Amino acid sequence: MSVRSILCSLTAVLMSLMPLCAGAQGGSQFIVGQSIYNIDTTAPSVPTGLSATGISLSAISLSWNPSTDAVGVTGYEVFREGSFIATTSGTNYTDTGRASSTTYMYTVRAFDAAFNFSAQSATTSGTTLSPSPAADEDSDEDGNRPPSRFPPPRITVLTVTPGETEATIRFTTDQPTRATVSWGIREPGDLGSARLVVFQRTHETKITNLAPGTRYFLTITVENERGKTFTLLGQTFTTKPAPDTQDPFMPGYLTATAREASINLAWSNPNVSDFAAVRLVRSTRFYPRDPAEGEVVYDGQAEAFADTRVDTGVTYYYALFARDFAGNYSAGVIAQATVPRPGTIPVTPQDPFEDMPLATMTPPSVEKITLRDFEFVQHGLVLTLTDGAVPVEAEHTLTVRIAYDRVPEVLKTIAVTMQHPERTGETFTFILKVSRDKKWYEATIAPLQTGGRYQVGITVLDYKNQKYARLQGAVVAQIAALAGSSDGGFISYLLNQHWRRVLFVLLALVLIILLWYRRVQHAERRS
Amino acid sequence: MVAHAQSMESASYQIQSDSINVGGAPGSSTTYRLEDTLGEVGTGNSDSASYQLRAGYQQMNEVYLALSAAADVSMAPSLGGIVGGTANGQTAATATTDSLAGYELSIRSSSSPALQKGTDTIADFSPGGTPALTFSVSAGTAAFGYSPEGADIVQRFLDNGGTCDAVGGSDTTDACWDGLSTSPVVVARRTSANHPTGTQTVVKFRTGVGANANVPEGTYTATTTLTLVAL
Repeated sequence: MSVRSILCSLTAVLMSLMPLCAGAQGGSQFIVGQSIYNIDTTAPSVPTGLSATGISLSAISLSWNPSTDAVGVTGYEVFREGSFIATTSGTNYTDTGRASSTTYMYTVRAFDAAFNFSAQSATTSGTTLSPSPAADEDSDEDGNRPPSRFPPPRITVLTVTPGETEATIRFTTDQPTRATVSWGIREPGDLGSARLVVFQRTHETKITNLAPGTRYFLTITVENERGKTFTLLGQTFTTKPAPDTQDPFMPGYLTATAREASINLAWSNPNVSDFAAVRLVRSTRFYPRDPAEGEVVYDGQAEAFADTRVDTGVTYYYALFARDFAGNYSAGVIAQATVPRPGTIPVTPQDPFEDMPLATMTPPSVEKITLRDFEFVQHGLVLTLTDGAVPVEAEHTLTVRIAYDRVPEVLKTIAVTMQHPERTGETFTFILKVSRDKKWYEATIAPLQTGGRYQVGITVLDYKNQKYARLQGAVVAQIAALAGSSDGGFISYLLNQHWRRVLFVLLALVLIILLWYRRVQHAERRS
Repeated sequence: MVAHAQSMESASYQIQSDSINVGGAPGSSTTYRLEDTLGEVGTGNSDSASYQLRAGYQQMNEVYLALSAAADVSMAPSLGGIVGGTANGQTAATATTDSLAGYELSIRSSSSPALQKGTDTIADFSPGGTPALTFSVSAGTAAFGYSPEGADIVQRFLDNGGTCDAVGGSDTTDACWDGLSTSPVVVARRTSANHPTGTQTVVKFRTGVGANANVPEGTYTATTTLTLVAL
């Protein structure tokens, strides 16, 4: 039997560069990969080749090589002596208004349209031109100044590479020198100094035990072998901030309203400085518990969005997450809506879980869960549950949490619904997320702002979206400045609106006037 | 000498020609193995401009057919799922055959739509009956398409400057785009042998994401197969 005959036929199922038989076929399989990103979190590259040249008595010309970026470089920030001086879209800049015969240190950094900033470039010095020769130790008897045979040293390049708790200082001098590097917070040297005793042109030292995100002053004095010195003043550097791992708090009051051909969503963004954006995701199966779950329908800083890619009769489950500049996401606020079929009236359930069936089997550990297992935390303190209600301060964030090991591992969802104390029918529902250290299911709510009694419902669902438990309680929010009375929150509730405060003050004034009037009358009678 | 020879086949293989080896002897080295048979007299190949003769014992039915491996494609650049954009990539494969009737090269995807990430997908480019001369997507959509280029490209992907599937058309660069399908679509055909040089076919891919398409982020992949058949 011919081996080639057998191979000839077997190759019909093999691929690539194999001789085959008539009627047979060969194939080549490959993968096409496409990456999609939704946030530009990549900083541009660090500008290189920064040069600084004195072009007049008062101006220094700067130029550098362009940075690159995944999306595009928008511009550059220019720093003199560590302080910001200008923004430019090009790769050159002229710094004017400088003093003559003076050396200045410069850095630049690039940024993109999403305001991602590169690290600062290496520091480069530039010196403005001198107005005229002046007498010094190298001058002749007539004060003329020939090129000095023994000029003082100069620092030509300084690079500071800050870390979170340390900084590496590198600098070069135009002649062999020894150096003293001093640093501090209020002024150079108040924290320490380092002596570099070997005469050389290139120096490097590492400063340690620094605080993250802190600005430090730096002074470098170099001395050449003839004892001539040069001191570089006014330098600063800032250590890198400690990584932000704190989740932002959630957006407020997500509502989803079904229209004829769209679902209109509205919410309020958290009012904090590190708020970057919200991400709205949806699913037709259940509420997404994570910003990476479901389909992203909006990512940005608006407070409303019309979802027009909807089909009638289909229920859409939305979850909204706040994101900070470090990329941390809050827990999700949820809402649902169904675009009604023609001729029907849209119904938005107040309780997003009212349609969920009850679990047939509830684990004993879940059956024992009560409202007391949930902690309400403000200012790092766990608030005490009294008569089924938790007193909280309305102007501060509130964290709701339950210990991770208090509920089964397979648990899918713990959701909290809060009802506005004044606007009946307005509810706010959110899903607790697992903390980074896996100790808690938790969520942090933006300041409630409005005082009063918020009815709280907590729903525990299993992995099949069946209800394990439904707990009821309340949060009594007080305006902190007026809290502390023993009225159970009633007076503070009365006082939490501006006009009510004005009325209270007026009543107090009337009372004072009446008391004063009675006292005057009493005095007149006695006299 | 042939005695008691017969063709054999099973579900997984087929022996197209068979013989009993009574006079030959196996030979081998580190790089090849030879098994010859007795009675091969006056055999050899004879080629001219108009014909090819394969004369000899067990020369029947066999052609040389080879397809080089097409490399994986990494589309560039990464696209913003919210801001949109266009990404491109390409791969190439060389088909070689000594079949006088030539070959057909077809392309298909393993899934529909081709480009997927879990439950998220990017639609196949869908120009209609014939490929589109240019690749474009509307603001609210995203699509993934391909365009083959090479000397043996079929008429469907040739254009006259205005439309594709043009009789006597040209293989214009970056023209005539279509969407992948799980059914094979012939992209190249040749009616003569091209052994030993072969003919390269380049398959260009393009992803377009509209400014309002809102495509979820992640890495989408399309498993694609080129199939070569001897005619």
